[in-house]
Amino acid sequence: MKKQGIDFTIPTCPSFFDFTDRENALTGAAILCAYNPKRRANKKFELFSKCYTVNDFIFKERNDLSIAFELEEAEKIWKYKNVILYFTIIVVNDKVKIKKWSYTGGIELVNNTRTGKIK
Amino acid sequence: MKELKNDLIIKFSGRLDNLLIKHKGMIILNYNGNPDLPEERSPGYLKNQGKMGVTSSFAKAVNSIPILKDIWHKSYFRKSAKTRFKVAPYKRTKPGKAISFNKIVAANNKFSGEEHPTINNIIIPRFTYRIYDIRSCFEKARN
Repeated sequence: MKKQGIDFTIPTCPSFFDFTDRENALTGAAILCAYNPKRRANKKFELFSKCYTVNDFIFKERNDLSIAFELEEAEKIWKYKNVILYFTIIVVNDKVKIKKWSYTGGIELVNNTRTGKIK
Repeated sequence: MKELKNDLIIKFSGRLDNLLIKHKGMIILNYNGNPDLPEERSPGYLKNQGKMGVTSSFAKAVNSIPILKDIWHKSYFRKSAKTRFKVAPYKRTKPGKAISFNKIVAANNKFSGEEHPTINNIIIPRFTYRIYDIRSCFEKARN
């Protein structure tokens, strides 16, 4: 996780998702929960929702993707010490029908202000 | 109609919350609940209120993403085996009348903290047939 966003990789099929030829669109949906404010005046937590669809997703190749933050969002997120990322990948077929999705629990990331990075 | 010259004695029994007695436009008695009852909310009540507020905010954020809203709307979420959806999953033909927001709230309230959502909250219902865990995709983000 960087100040600009979150980078992640989707491995090739079939080691990860079992894609079929008709399933060619992939939607990534994320909710970010920033909590534990650095200043008491801030809200106890803030939620940010992100969603992006990749049409013509090449599932036979490794894909490096990123959830980008807008400048305003990034500034808000960095007011907090902790971030929980809830993320899912949804596979949509050529008839725009939802076929399957990933189930993932939250991923906790801690803001380490000394190094300017999140662990 | 006769006018009573003696005092009128009325006895009330059972539970009484509010009572207002008026006579010729004048308020004779204005009773607002049992004064012995504590006005302060119990810690359990406050805890539940806090959790509910957190869950509502979380559900609102999830519901703001159209594809997630659609999935929740069509999901067969079972709140409790004892209360709702007593019909076995394989016998169900409709997702039920509950709207997606309510389903998200029902699925998440037990996981929410009093002050913020926890790592256990979910943005998507559990997949019925295959469960994928994509946490490994984010190893780069952690390192």
